[in-house]
Parts: sequence; structure tokens; C-alpha cells
Amino acid sequence: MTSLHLALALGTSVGALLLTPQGDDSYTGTWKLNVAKSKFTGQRDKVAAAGANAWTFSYGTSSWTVKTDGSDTPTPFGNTVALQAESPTTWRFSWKAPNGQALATETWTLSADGKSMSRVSSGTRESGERFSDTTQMNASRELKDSPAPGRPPSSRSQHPLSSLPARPPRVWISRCPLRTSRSHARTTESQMPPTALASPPVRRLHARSVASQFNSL
Amino acid sequence: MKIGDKTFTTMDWSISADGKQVTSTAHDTGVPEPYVGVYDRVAK
Repeated sequence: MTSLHLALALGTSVGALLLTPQGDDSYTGTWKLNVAKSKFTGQRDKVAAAGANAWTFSYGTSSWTVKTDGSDTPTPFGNTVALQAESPTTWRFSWKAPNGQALATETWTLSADGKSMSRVSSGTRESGERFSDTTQMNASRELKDSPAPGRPPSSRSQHPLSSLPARPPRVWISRCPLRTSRSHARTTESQMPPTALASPPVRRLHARSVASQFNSL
Repeated sequence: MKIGDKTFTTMDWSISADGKQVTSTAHDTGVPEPYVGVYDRVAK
């Protein structure tokens, strides 16, 4: 999913980072992520068909399967995600905490040639701070049967992002540098990582993990 | 270190000589490239 996840997971997304290593207070204080100097590229996620209207998302050693029926599905990160196909090339994810509290939403939009996608995520962090991130992903060479450049996605599939063939599993890699947009006033900024998340995306916002993990479609 | 169910094989932190910048390097299991986060000190 998006930088959303990982960003939160690593705390890269922001904020006030308090560090207090043993016997040294040098790290004590408030820190702000320097996006320009950080590197969260190379994030890879895979998306593979897992039966009718179901997709398996993999990131690193974690994977989870979600149906495009909008139902809340538990993830390895302790939260839930619901996936809805808004169009043949648009997927929308809604992340919630275990208590049902909405954490974030993420929209994946596939390019016409099926070789790249944008992931736009927004939500509210545990601190109440609003965030909005945009991550660009490229399909890796493992994507062998994508439509020819300039050719519209196939209409055969009824799945979102149908332009992406169901096989082989797709691998997506975040572009460098990740693009981050901020649509909300805030004192800190996030990066997605992914992202995050990856980030996350969303893993558990409480754990600062989020959707950067969206690894990918 | 472990965050959620995700295990980072290593996560190293280093601070600049002037104490104004921290760099974190995390290697995530199954992810070939490390994530590098650079943080600027906002307040002591």
C-alpha cells in the first residue's frame, strides 16, 4: 500500500521523535523528518489474484488477502482494511483500528498503460494530526503481460486495476524520490513511506505504522 | 526490533557531531534496500 504504512512504522512520517538511548541523552529532544535527505525508495509490494474478487497483498514477509466487497478484513498489523473497486483502474482502501476507529483511506489509481500507479492516502494520526501523502509506484519487470503503452486497460476483467493482469503477481516499486503532498496544515510531515505503508496504508497508527504498507497492488 | 508483526533485522541510529541531526537505517526482512530516515532537531 503506501508510504503511509512504512512511514508510520518507522516513525519516518514524522513528528516528534523522542529518543533516549541508554546512558546518553544526546538523542533526547524533538525531531522532524527531513524528507529531502531520507530514502524510502525501493519499497516493493506484490499483488496477486486470490480467487473471485479477492487479492493478496505482500510486503516483505507479511501478506494479507482482501476481497473487493468493502468488508473489513484483519491484517497482520492488527488493524483492518476494506477494499472497494471504484472503477477498473481505481481501488480504495479504508483502514481502521481494532476498535473500529477510522485511521486512513488510500486510493490507488493505475496509469493507462498499467505500468505505474499513484497512491494517495489521508487520515488522522493518533495525535489528531491530519495527513495526506502521495506516492508514485512503478511496476517491475515482473509485470510481463501489461497492456501496450497507450493502450487502455482491458475491459475483460471486472476487477479494479483490471488493466493489471491477474498473473503473474505484480511487483511494484516506489519511485525515487517519493512525492509527498500536504493538504492539511500541520507542524510535521509524513513521507510514505509508505509510505509507507507502506506506509503505510495502514498498519496500526498507534504503532506508527500505517499504510505504507500498502504495499502494493 | 519488531513493530506490529514486522521484524526489522536491524535499525541503527546515529547522531551528527553537532547533535542536530539523527539518521536511522532500517533493514526490513524481505526488503532488499534499507530505509534511511534523516531527522533534524527541532527542539532540545
